[in-house]
Order: sequence, then structure tokens, then C-alpha cells
Amino acid sequence: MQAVVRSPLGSMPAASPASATPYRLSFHGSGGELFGIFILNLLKTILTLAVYYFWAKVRTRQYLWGQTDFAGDRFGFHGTGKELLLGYLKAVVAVGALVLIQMSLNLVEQQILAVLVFWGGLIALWPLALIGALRYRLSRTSWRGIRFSFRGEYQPMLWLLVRGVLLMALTLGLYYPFYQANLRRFLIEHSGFGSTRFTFDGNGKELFGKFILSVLLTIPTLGFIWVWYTALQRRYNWGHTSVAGARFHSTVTGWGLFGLTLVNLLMIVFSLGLALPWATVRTLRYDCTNLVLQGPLDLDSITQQAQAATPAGEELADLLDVDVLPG
Amino acid sequence: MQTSWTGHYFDGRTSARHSVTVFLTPTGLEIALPNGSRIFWPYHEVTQAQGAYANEPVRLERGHATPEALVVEDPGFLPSMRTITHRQGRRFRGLREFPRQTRIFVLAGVVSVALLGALALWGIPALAELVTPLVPPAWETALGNTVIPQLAPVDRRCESHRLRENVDRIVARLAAAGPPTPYPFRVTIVESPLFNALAAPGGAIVLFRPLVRSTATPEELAGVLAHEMQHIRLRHATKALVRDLSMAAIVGAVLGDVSGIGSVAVQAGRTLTTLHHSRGDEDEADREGLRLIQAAQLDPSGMIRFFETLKARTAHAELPGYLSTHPETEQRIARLKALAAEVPTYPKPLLPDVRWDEVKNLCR
Repeated sequence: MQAVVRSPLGSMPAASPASATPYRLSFHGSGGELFGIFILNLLKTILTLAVYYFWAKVRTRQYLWGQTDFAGDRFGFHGTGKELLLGYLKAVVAVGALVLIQMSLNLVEQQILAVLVFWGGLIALWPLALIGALRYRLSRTSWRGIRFSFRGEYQPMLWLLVRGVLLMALTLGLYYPFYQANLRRFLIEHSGFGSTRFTFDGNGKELFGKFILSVLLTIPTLGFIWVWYTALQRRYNWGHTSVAGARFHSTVTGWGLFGLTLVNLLMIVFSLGLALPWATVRTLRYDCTNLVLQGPLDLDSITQQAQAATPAGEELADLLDVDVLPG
Repeated sequence: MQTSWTGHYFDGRTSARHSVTVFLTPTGLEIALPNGSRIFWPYHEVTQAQGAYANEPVRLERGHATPEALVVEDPGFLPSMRTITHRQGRRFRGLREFPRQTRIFVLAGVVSVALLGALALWGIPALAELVTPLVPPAWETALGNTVIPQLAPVDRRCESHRLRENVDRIVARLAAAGPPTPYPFRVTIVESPLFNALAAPGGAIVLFRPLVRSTATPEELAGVLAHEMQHIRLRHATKALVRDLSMAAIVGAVLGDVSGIGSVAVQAGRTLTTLHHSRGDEDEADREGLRLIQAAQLDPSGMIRFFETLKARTAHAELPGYLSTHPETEQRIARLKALAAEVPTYPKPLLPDVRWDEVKNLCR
């Protein structure tokens, strides 16, 4: 029997889950503990005039990773504050150089050139940030002592981005599902866990109809249809992602995402932001309980293939506000 | 005391999970693998990666690039290990206990808020006072020049030779009366619906045409110019920039959003294009501006009259521009009158040979 997920966008068969025992993710963290970490980080960040920021980031991640388990074993985060600080300095030099060039071009009254250089520079830096951040995050993440990795290269990523932006402009945005699938494929297929690779077999064509429907329903639903589209896209993306022969299966629903976001928003607004740690925990718990890995999987025979990676990309992504793994 | 525990061992080379027995010996951990072999970890080579939180198994690691790891779930393990290693002088982190932690959190929160407040109220202005003198005037001029094309687009500037010549004469008279400054004062008059005057860092002053046209005498315009020239001489815009940037950087770091530093660039642009000043800076520019007027042997009542015109405008017009960032006009007038009375002046006329009511309306 096939699992069918109901949503306002109609039913869509999820990628057929095999009958083997599912491997589950679960998040054990509590809002109270995370709140404590946030508060102490805040104090130390102020006392050090913001230098502690990088150590704070490591502390938070160590907690979040350590509270997440997959098939009974916790994840580990191995980054350090020092390397993040150095990476940040490199990223600042890159962005600073761009801003300086733009300002000096403005100074000699070359406004058009300045705008071109600035946006060209941002487009060139964006894939660098995305790739760098993924490489850093995955290479510093371990499960059962084995590191994850990301081995995507800059040029194909830049090409994918430029082509995607151009085609979206030409098709008035209708190319989006294809771009999204291509990007997802690039990101997933270059990710690995030790000696194994992740694979992605989805394509934009299968989401295109639902995408068009969502565009048409945007005004009648006041835009809320996109919550359901996001859920659909997440189920689709995970349903077409596999590792070592086993396939992911996401049970995220539109109502689920809607409720989660609405409650989080209300919590944060009415607590003047103090409830942020609890909202974070709610989101992670929802994400973890709604994702399983199904299929025959030999978890014991994966060998270490660690990857060297500098943290500059991580901080560049922060500077440019790049969303590292959307959906 | 219990000295043997069950746990899982990962060798850092494969993902295999080995069920092991762990023995706490006085000098290190002994790990008995299922195949009968034993591994010994001296305590000083062991780092503690996880286990400080209630529902987190203890995770110990040994080695650098891709460490071996040992995970023990039993909550009794950590206290036992700490007791043994404490005698060795090697400290492992204990469980964070909640009631004690809560007090620390509340304290940390209160201290954080107090520190942030103090930083915003005193720390950052003090920093601005400290940093601003270190900025070379040439940088200020370069910075100011980047915003002039935005504030005064070339095609909307008033290029009338007669108007510019007379405004320059006022500036020259004021500049000659004040202390020497490294800033070349340049005035640009721009066609605009706004009633405003701005001083960019480094010497550029932008006057919006409605303001120029509202002046009844050249002395009134001299009052506005003296005020703006003092903003430049006292480096108020540069100080505001330092204040805003450091505030944005700190808020960004505190909120964990370093793209805040990306938006620092945006903030810099905003500060420069609005060129707002703090109340204190405005008062200082008023005071020093009036002193400059008196030093140039001009009639201070012109400056005061300008503010009276301004007050009349506020009474029946909603034109925030110049007003929103400026102190209450009523108070300003009173303060200026008091200041003017402190020093007697014997004014000499300004531009006596010029028909101001004609000149002020020129543009092209």
C-alpha cells in the first residue's frame, strides 16, 4: 500500500517506503536549557564586545547537535570558535573589498558601474558562501564518529545559479520548480557521509503542475497556499533523497507547518522574543519527528573520509544572509 | 564505588558501534572490546564532548582530526569518573544542575540588559568621542562626496552664478571669522520640495531651495550656514556614523545575526543620507553657530528670525524634514536669544549691495 498525504493541493503519492524498519531522528533538547545557553552567550558576547559571538555559535551548535539522535546515536559538532573568528575575518575582507570598490566607483561618479560591480560581486560571492557554509557545517558534523562532507565545486554552482536566475527572469518565475530541483540535486548529490554519498532523483517537472496551481491560488488564499506548497516540496525533496540504498520519507504537512509557524510566531511576539529558544526546540522537534530513513541499510560498514574545510564560507554565508539548506 | 560500565565505542575509522565495558582505573579509562582486546585511554588525553546536560549521554573523545569516541549512557558514570579524576588533578565537567543554573541565568539576563543599556547610553557616545578625532579629514571629505550626488542630483542643482557667488561670500565671511579648519566648505543648492539643510562630513553643505527662499535677509541664511558649518567643524556626522555603526555591530552580534554587519553598510548609508544628529549635537551646533555669527560681526537676530519663520511654518504645515531631528523650535529660540544677549555685538551689514529678495529666488 502506498502512503498518501492529503493536502489542499490534492493527494500525492509519497515515494514508496520500503517495509524495512525505519531509522528515526529525534530531538531531545529542552527550551529551558537552550534559553540558559542563549542568556549566557548574550552576557559573554556583551562583555567581550561581540568577540565571543563565534564561541557562542559553537556552544549553541554543540548543544543542538548533541541533542539530536539518529537511530539511537547522537550527532557531534566539532567546530571551534577560533576557526570561526578567523573565517569571519577572511569573509569581512572579501565583502569589505567589494564595498570599498563600490564606494570608490561612486566617488568618481561611476554610479552605473558601481551598481554593476556590487551586484556582480554579490552574485559571485553567493555560491562561494553557500558551498563554503555547507562544506564547513557538514565536515564538522559527525555521527558515530564518522564525518559528513560536501564536495560541490564553485564553478558548476555559479553556472547553476546564473542560469537559474536568467531562465526565471525570462519565464517570469515559472522556471522556479526546475531551478529548485536542480539546486537541490547539486546540494544533495555532493553531500556525503563517510564513504557513502547521498543521491537525489527528483526533478522539477513533477512539481510544476502544483506550482502553477499555487500561483493561481495565491490571491484567493491570501498567499497561504505557499505553506502547503512548501510542505509538498519538502516531502517531494526528501522522498527523492537516498543514502546507501535507503530512502528518506518526510511526513511534513501544510497544516503541521502552518500550526508550527503560527504558534512559534505568537510565542515570540507575546514574550518579546524571550520564547525564541522554545520556538527553536519546537521547530527542531517537528522536523525530526517528521523525517525517517527507510530501507535496507548497513550502518556499520561506512568508513571515514574526512574532508578539510575552512570556516570562511560559513561566516560569508552569515554576512550575506545565505539560507544554507532551504526546505 | 562502581568501576565498570557498559558503553559504546567508535573507532573513528568506520561507523561500526562496538558494545564495550568501560573500567575507571586511577590513571585512565580501560575499554574492553567485544573481541577481547583492551584499549587504554589516559585521562589527560581524553576530551569531553557531550554529557553536560541531563538527557545527554556522556561522550568522551581521544585523538585529533577524527577522534575515537566513547559513549556512556548511565548517569552514574560521570560523577564516578569525576571523583577519580579529581584526585589526578584532571577536571571533567559535571552535569549542569537546574536550580543553580536558573539563578545564574536570571542574573546573567539582568546584567546583560543593564550592560546593553549602559553601552547604548554612555559607552557608544564615549567611543564615538574617542574614535572620531582619529578619522583623517580627507576620509570625511571622501565619505561626504559619496552622498552628495544622491542628496543633490546634478540636474536639479541651482547653478545660477549670481546666487552661488553671494552664498559663497556669506560662507567666506563666516569661515574667515572662525578658527582654521581642514574642511573646504562648499555649498550646493538643490531644487526640491523639501524644506531642509544638511551638512555632510568633510565640508559639503546642501541647502534645499525652499529654505533659501524663505529667508528674508542674508543674515538669516548666514544663521543656517553657521549652524551647518559647525556641524562639519565639530565632526557631528562622523560621530553619528561611528555611533550608529558600533550600535548596529553590537546589536547584530547579540542577536546572533552577523548579516547585521552586512546591514551595517546599509545603516551607514542611512546615517549619511539622513544626516541626523543627536539633540546634544544640535544644541552644540546652535551655540557654536551663534558664536560664529557674532565673531563674523553679523547680526545674531537674523539667525533667531530664521527659527521664528521655522516656528511659523510648523504651526500650519506638516513638513518634518528639518524639524523632526531638531530640538523644539520654541526652546531653541529662547536659548539663542539668551546666548546672543551674553555677548554684545556691533553688527556690520552682510551683502549691503545685494537685493536679497531677488537673489534668493534665483536658480538657473
